[in-house]
Amino acid sequence: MVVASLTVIGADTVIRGDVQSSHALEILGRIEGNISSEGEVTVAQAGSVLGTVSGSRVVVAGSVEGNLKGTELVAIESEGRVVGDLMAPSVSVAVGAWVKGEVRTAGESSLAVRRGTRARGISPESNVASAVAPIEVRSRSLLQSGDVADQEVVTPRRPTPIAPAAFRPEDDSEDDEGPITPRPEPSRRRPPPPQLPTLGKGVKAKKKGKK
Amino acid sequence: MAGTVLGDGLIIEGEMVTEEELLVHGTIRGKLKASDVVSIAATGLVEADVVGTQFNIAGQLTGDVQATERVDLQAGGKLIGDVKAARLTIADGATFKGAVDMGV
Repeated sequence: MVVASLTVIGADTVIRGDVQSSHALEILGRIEGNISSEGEVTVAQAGSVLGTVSGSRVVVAGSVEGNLKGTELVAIESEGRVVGDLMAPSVSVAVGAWVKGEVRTAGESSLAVRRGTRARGISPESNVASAVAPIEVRSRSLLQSGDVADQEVVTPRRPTPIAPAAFRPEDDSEDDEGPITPRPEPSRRRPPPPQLPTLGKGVKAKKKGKK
Repeated sequence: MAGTVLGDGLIIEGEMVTEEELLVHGTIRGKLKASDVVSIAATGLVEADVVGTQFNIAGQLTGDVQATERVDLQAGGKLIGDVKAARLTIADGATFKGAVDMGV
C-alpha cells in the first residue's frame, strides 16, 4: 500500500483544472491548471504542466509552461524545460536545462543597493517584472519536444553594421601610399543606378505645380 | 504499474481523464473519466459524475456513476447518485441513495 499522503499523477492521466495539495506531489502526466502545494512538487521527465506551480520545493525535470514559485527552492534538472519565471529564495538550473523567463532569488535587494541605478524607486515587492531584466537561458539548441520549440522566440538579428567610410583620422596619419582609396562598399547595400530623365531636343520642361 | 494516486490533502477542481489505475485518498470536484479501475479510499471524496470500467468505493462519492464492468460499494462507503453498471455490490454498512440501472 502506498503512503496515503503522497500524490502521484501517472503518465496516462490528464487533469484540466486547479490542483491543491497539503503534501508532496509528483507529476508524470499532464496538468493544465494551477498547482499549489505545501510540500514538494516534482514534475518528472515525462510530466508536463501548463500553469503556475507553487510549492515549498519545486523540482522540474519535465516541461512547464508557467511560473514556478518555491518558498524554499526551485530546481530545474538537466532535462527540464521551462517557459516562465522562476521565483524562490534559491534557484538552480542544471546544465542542459532549457529555461526562458525571469529569475528572482533571495538577495535581490542587496544587489539593488549595489547597483543603485537599476531598481531605484522600486520596492522589491512592488513590481518585480519591471525591476528585473529578462534573462534568457538557452543552453540547449536541439529540442526533442516540439511544443516547446514552437514557443521559442528567435532574437532578431541585428543588421550587420555597414563599414564606415575609410576617412579615419588614423588613416590620415600614415598616409604614404598616395591618395586614400575609399573602402569598397559591401556589395549588398549598393545604391540603385541613377536614372536620368531623357528629354528630346526642343521639348520644353513641364512647370512644377501644373497638372 | 503504479498508476495514479491522489493523496489525502489533495484537491482537484476540474476535469480529470486517466487511462490507468486510480486510487483516491483526496478530493476530486468536477468530472472524472477513467478507463481502468478506480478505487476511492476511506478518506477519498469525489463530487463528480464519473465514467469508467470498475469502481471500488470505500469513501464518499456524490454524482452519477457509469461503469462498463462493475461497482463495489464497500463497508463504510457512501454513494449518492444513480448507478449504471452491469454488476453492483453493496456491502453491509455501506450507504447508498440513488437509482440503479443494470442495463436489463
